[in-house]
Amino acid sequence: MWVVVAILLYLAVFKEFEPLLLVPIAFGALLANLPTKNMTDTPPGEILSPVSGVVVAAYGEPGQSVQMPATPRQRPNHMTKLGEDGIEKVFDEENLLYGEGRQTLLYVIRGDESHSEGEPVSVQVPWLGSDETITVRGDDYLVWAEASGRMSQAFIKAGDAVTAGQPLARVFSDHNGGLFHYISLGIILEIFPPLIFLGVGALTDFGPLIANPRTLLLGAAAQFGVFATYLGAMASGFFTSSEAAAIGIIGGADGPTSIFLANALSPDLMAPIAVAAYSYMALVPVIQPPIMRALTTKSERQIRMKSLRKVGRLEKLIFALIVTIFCILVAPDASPLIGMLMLGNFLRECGVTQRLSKAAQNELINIVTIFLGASVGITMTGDRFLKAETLMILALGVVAFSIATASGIIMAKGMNLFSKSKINPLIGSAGVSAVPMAARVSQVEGQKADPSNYLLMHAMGPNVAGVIGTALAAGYFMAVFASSH
Amino acid sequence: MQTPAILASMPAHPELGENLQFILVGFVFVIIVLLILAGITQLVGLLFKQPAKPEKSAAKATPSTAASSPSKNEPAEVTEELDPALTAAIVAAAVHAVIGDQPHRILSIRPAQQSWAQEGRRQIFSSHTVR
Repeated sequence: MWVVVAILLYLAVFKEFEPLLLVPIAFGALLANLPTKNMTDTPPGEILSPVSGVVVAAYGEPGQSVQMPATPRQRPNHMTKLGEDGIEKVFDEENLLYGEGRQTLLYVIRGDESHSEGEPVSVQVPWLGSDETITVRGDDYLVWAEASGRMSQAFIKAGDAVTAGQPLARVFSDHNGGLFHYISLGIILEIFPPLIFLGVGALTDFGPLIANPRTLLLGAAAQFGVFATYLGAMASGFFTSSEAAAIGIIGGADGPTSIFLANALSPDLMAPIAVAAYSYMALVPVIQPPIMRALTTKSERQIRMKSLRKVGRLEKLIFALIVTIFCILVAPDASPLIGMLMLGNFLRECGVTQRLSKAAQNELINIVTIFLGASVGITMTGDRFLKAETLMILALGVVAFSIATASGIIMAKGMNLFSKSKINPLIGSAGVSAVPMAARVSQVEGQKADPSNYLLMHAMGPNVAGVIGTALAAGYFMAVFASSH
Repeated sequence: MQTPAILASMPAHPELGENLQFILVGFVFVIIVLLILAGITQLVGLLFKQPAKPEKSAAKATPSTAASSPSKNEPAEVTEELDPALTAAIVAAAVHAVIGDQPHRILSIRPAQQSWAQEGRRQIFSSHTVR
């Protein structure tokens, strides 16, 4: 992992690839892979059942000590992906760690509904150093304490039925948890990504989009990359549908939305998804131009677009309110993102809250960026990150960006077939969000074809439309998967 | 209005047909929502563009400029902006009026901050004799 950290730091510091986020992420990853103390420790407390079902095995009586390693290590919370050998290996290792007093598995719970494909395997395994054996199944859930301590109360014993969220036991200790446990709550409780959106809204001028509303369609078209990547992730066979959705959103090129969705649908994959999203956003000037040139002719790249009209303050305020109301009505799950984005923009445009707008644009977004990046990085432990899934996510991320770029360009070309005032297809690529990097790439590529052509403000339209489109796609995913599993 | 409920129970490992339906519904959902938003924004934009029309028609009515003016489609506010050369001349005259014959050179012309309140306070303070 230290090599990965070194690569990320090199890209951030010397190549200046999204340094504002890659530096905190890389440093967090370094901390995650050192034997730190009081950094990520979780405070002990109530242990809740993750699922409704029956308790297959239970550890402990009140007064018994519970051990968990100070440095977090990857633990499976269920055994769906483990075969017979994998399950035996988990329990052998668990018995060994228990014998050494380093880790205590507390409960095995069998859910009422099976999430395995076909009949789950049944395996006879030893139970926590005793001569006793238990029969576990491939879709059983494993429950651990959050931290070392002493079991003060045990509410459940083997054979009892439990419902999801029901307290199983209480563990007490004098320790209160580490720094990053509390900082990371900003991600777990889905606070940081909407706060970043507040700052993004305060920084963004929606004027170009309001002046030329049809560019909203370019932002919408670019979202095809999100859905195509979902299909690719499903086809790989590595991921469940909710994990594939979290990976697909990388194609939206919107870091906070990627983190927001990954935390909601697939927390285990959040670190590789965040790293892929931000790395590829930094690589937009490398990934996009070849696709832009391949899909356009020189004469198309030389198209000059009509100057944008000036948009007044009142029109911008009305736009902010319309987007807020309309998007939240159709995609309520995206409310935290859309609501905060438009609140930030309203603060910027209303002209009477300059102090608040400046705070959102500078202090708030900067502070949250540090915490967000470091919190993502601290989840990048070697055993969690160095897996085939990570490589697959990185590969799918490139595919997502490429398809999103191509979709925006093709949509612009399609619109030119029916429109009198032509659109330069180069601005279609800016529909991938990545504000304002993607718009700058459109400008640079446009000037290569015609040095006196200025596409930047035109490209800002699809660019900010992409932000709204990605938030809507995320809202759609959350609406579907939140009710599924 | 709510997000489509067509796929309310998406399994962890859906069939290809379910996946295709899922992405089709999702993509069409995003397109339609943003299309409607574009339409609403366009309509609101029309309301804001309309007041400029009488000025445009008035400009067209002027016989000397209607036929030859290259900027007949430009918004009215463009014509109200000062010519940069004229701005430079006005600023140069103002500087000369204040500084007089002392040698000076205007390097840049930028809009001043709108700190009228601060300027007012400065004038009030400077009007008092400090003992």
